[in-house]
Amino acid sequence: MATQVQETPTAPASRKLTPPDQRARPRRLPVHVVVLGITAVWAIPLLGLLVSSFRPASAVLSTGWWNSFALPGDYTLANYQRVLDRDGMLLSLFNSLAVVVPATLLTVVVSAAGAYGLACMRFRFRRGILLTIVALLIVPVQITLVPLLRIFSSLDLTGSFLGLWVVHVGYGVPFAIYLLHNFFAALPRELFEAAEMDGATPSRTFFSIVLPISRPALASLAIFEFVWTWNDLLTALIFLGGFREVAPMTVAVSGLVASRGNGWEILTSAAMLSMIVPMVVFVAMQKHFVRGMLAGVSKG
Amino acid sequence: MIADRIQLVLVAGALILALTFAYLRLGDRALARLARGWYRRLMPWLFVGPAALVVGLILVFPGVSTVFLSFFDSDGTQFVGLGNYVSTLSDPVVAIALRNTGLWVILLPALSAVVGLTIAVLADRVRYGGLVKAALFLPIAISAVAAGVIWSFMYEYQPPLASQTGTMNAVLTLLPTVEPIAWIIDTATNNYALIGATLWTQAGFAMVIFAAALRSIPDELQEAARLDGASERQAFRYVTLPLLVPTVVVVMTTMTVIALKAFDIVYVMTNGAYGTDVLSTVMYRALFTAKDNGAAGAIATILMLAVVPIMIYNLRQFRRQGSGV
Amino acid sequence: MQHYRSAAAIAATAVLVLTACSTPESVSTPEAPDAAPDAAVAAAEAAALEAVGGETLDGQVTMLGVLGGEELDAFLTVLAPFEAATGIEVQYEGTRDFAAVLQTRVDGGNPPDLVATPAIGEMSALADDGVLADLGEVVGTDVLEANFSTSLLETGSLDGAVFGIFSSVNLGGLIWYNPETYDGPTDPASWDELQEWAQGAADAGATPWCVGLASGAASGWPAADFIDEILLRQAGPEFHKRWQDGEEPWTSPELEAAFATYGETVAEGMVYGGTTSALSTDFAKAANPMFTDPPGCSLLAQATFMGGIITDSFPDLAPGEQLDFFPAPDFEAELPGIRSISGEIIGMINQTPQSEALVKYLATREAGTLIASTGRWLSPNQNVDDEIYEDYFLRKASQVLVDAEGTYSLGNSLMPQTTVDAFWKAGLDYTQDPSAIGEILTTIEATR
Repeated sequence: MATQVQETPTAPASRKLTPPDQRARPRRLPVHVVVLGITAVWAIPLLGLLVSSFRPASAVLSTGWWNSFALPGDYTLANYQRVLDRDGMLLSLFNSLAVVVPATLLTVVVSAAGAYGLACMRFRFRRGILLTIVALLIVPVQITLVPLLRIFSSLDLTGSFLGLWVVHVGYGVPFAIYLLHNFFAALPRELFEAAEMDGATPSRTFFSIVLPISRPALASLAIFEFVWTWNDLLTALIFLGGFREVAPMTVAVSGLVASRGNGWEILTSAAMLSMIVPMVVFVAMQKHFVRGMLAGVSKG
Repeated sequence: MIADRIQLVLVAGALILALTFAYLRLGDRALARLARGWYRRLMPWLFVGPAALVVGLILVFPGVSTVFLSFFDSDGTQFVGLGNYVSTLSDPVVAIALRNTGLWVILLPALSAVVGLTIAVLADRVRYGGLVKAALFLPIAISAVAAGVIWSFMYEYQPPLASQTGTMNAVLTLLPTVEPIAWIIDTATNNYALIGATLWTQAGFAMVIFAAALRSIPDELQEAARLDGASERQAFRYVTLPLLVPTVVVVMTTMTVIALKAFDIVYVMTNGAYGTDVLSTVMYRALFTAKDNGAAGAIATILMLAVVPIMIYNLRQFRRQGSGV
Repeated sequence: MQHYRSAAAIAATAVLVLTACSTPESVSTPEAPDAAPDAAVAAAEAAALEAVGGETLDGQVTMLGVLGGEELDAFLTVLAPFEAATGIEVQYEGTRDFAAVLQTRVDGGNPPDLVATPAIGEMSALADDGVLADLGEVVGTDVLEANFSTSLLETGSLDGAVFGIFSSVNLGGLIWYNPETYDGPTDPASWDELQEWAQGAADAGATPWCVGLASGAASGWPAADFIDEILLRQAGPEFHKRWQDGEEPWTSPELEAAFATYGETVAEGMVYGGTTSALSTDFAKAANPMFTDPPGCSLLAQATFMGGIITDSFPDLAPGEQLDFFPAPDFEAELPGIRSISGEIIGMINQTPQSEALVKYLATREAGTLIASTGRWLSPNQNVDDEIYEDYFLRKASQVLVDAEGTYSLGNSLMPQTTVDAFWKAGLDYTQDPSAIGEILTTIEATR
């Protein structure tokens, strides 16, 4: 599925096309206005967060973040220092990775296989199973906690990473299958027919044809599962525990705030820090589902 | 200890990939030895089996157990039939929650889809498109607690003559004679304020899905339309958009479910006070504060039933998609 | 795209470098709270060793609590001598989702060994279900009675069994003010005298009271705590106890009177920014207007922990000179000198040699001394020497407690959480619309 760069063909004079440059300029302005407008609305809270994370706690609690621009020297690294000096912060980063990476990987492979079976194979109950799995999107997390914990306790899986992975896979599969099924079902029949004629087994087709072609969908799925699992707090607390050796970053960060909620100014810097890893993942995955820069240029 | 974690990630990652590959390939081969009929019947289960199993354990089992418990009293000992449903639906707090959840369902999916699609399409047209997408994506990477902190900041209220510390009110009071609004307290604005904060965290999701879908639409199609004399807008409307319909359904469905289940932002910012309750916050209180498993089960079941109409609509979509198989 | 990739990579590397440069496995954090004198730490270690029976015992104890941030650091310094002396590892988990996590873990068959929480009513409910061990048997009733006052022990008891012992105490009902700008009475003989001054200030155009009720999911608790205090001191301890135990309904006239007295602080013109500000201001920021020029308000009703919170926001404040408190004056002439306290209690779910040792340790005078020397809390242990309080506010508070005619626990910490939630919400509702008092009280009563 290569996105080829194509030059806009010049239209024959007999066609009723407005010449490109007469269209381009007035057309571009609304685009910029809309895009910049939305970007501004989205970026301002982030900017506020960024600026606040560099301000001393007393300033954060008394004035708006834009006031800091007026007073030079109002900035400090103290918040970041406090977060990073926190006992176990670095470990929590790796705990988070230990929870999130395998869980995401497992979710993606299990769901890819499942979606492939549901989209490309014919069998009884196919639609029923698909519908049920997708319908399970609605199950609220809170009601699953006690029943699952009972089972896990008896299996002695509490406090283990494996238990938490399985739980996250369970939570992630409905959306994953929904998304991938939508994608797989749209793949052209010819692909499969050609493979069948070559005598390829389903798993061969799956690994050599379907997966490579589905990179955009798989990449976006991976990003979401990664980020959602990365930001989870309650499930980790219940199934893994909040102890220092295993606490993921969300738990460690929540421990920065005192019991009545005071001290939350430090969350500004903690939030900035915990955003870095998902951001890196997003940027790394970008190439799989972003059109090349050149494709954009040719569209004018 | 950090080394242990890194090791765990690498080992687990490698194992997962290797085992999946082995499982599917070997399973393939094993099933190929069976008679045609059996092969046909069992092969799909090789692929679908693990997903069905995991989902059955993690979601179906607790879900069924919850529905079951909704017919019993708070301890789960005495059968009360529809008693919990009657008391829940006649509770004025639940009535407010239902109304609010309805508001969420109407606003959140539609706005997310519009913003997400707009940026997914337009960001590629401008040179700073990457930055735009990053700006929309970053909020997804923020935890609910942090988002609650950010937006509590944004919505802060100071008395009319004092200098404002909240961004929204600071901007608002730039206009002459406009007084600051207590966004969270004022019942005219608070639900929209919470929905807006959630929209901020979710629009990036819609954008990413749409971007992936757009990436899969071959450029040649749009070029062909342009060659035939269509304007850019027409090409988008009549060629691209129809191809995006399945994706729109996926985005809208997922966002609707997110709207139905909305909890974190509401809990962190108001916990349902000032008329901002939604079904999830009521359920959370019934479950963990009142410790009434029956009532919590009833609310959860009502919430889960809300997905039925959505699924009926999706069924049509699935039928259409599966027809090629 | 290339720039973003490398920028992100640089950022990630920067973070890793920064984190690596920080001390990885430090026993205590750099910003340690007032460090306990070495003698106290040594004494605590000895006490810990005694608690465990003289010999080091390996193993671990899991503890679920609500503490976070610097409070947690302070509490961990109290646990450190225990760990050092006994070899037992204490695994503390602090979370604000305490109720959800605890209940899920108990119901799910994976409970922590010990629990520490200010929600005494919740613990009482657990004790009722038979989940908590009787600490009277674990520690010994004679030891408990020697270290804790009867009222503290009673608060943590149900049907004769002690389900929880206090680990830290806060004194409530303090009126905070800024001595540099406040010109009213600092030792009023009665509430009426204080309100008279306040009314005078309001008539002159100022807003004397600072009120901040917002607190996330728990919004309204400052109002509830103050109303509780007023009820205790206005209607008397006996009525307060009966109300707490459910024998007096919320709809009683005494409750209405207590709400009304609270209402005087949020009445028209009395509170900074009007009721809208009172409702939307976070409790931790409520005192900010005291320090502006000119001050926006002068008086704030809050417990001892407010001192630490205010000095966190304004680190240059000199305690005593720019921030001080006086205990809330008597509301009823015939009931002088009554004080209210709140605090955290520790309960035991899993009885193991390790958890027993830790509870015994926490009940000792030495552990209490360490709690006191953190500068954050008052120690519930009556054998702790008052000299240990270095913090100006705590020292003053402990003196108030010594001089008190009677000390009682706040009622709302003892009630089931549904009622407590309703009480907090009532604080908000009443502030918004005092005329709805009848309906508000009926709603709370319905939760019982």
